[in-house]
Amino acid sequence: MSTKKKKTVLISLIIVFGITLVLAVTYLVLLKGCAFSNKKYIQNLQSSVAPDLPMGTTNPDGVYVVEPDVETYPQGDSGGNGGNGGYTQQPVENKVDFATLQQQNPEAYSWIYIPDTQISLPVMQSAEDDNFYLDHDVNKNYSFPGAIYSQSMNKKDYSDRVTVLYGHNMANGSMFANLHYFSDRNFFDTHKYIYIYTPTRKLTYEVVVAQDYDDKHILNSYDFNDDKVFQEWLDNAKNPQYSLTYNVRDEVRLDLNSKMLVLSTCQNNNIGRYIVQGVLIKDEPTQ
Amino acid sequence: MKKIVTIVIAVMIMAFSTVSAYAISETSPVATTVPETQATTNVPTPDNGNKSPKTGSNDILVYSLIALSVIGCGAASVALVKTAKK
Repeated sequence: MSTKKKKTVLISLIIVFGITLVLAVTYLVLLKGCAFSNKKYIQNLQSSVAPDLPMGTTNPDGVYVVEPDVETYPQGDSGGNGGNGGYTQQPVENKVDFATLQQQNPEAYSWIYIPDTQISLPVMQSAEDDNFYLDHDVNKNYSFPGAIYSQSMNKKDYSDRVTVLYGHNMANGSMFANLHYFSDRNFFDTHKYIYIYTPTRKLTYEVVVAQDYDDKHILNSYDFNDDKVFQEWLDNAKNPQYSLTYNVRDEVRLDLNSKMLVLSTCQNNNIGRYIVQGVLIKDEPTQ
Repeated sequence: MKKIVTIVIAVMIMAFSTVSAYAISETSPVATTVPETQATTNVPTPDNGNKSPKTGSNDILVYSLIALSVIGCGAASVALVKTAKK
């Protein structure tokens, strides 16, 4: 190849790589901008709709706070883990303004809160597409971070044996990224509870296990109506056989009356999933 | 007379057309629109996949692309400089 031809090829290559670089950087900037504005919007929403459920520290090495109000809860009749999870008639304060939230989008049917994380977020379920909120925000606008959501195979009253909520593992720590805090044994030990607020109830779940998981679609892969299948799922929660890294709370008792909540996000390698699973221990009406 | 017969026929057609048994069939050149009587139920598009929704941060691909572009650009520039020196 002549020197002139070689130069032309090299210059063409530089131009192609340069254009790719510019496009990729532009896309990245847009992506970060979208994630930033979504995070900002969620923070504003949280402070206007659920100001008493503040987003916590973003640093897992920060101060860990065990929720004192839950520590004093008496255990339910079923041992604190089954059926109605110790349903009490004493109404408690609902810390979420669902009227305002549902004015924005009636598909927001509950609110999830995990202390000391950025997880203080509305939970959505689309009437159009099961995965609509994978890439749409609370206002139904396209947004890569999406929203926290469940699929239509789960009832919105959390009465299923297993309810699965999905959220992105965002690089900026928003959505369900902070679930990874539970891989830290110290954080896992000191943060036992997940709270769900619905317009009429407050549900308290005790975290049973936080583990790596494969990319299997849980609800499409297991028939939890089958007692045997559900029992196997519970056994596996207490003793995750296929996880390399996991934290388990051994003292929690699980049985066929248990109502499990699975929070699912991607692993940092973007291949498998990371799930945090809790069991309903308290179901309180709200006023 | 012709007019009267025409009017009578038209009235008869109109009268019979209100009886469903004599109503104009759908194959008639006169277009009819059957109203949707069944209520549309809002059934979401189900996720029947065997893989869980992909909830990863998708910037890994972009970072890889940027890294490859920088490497490619650098390599081509070095080669160009070497070629120019010759």
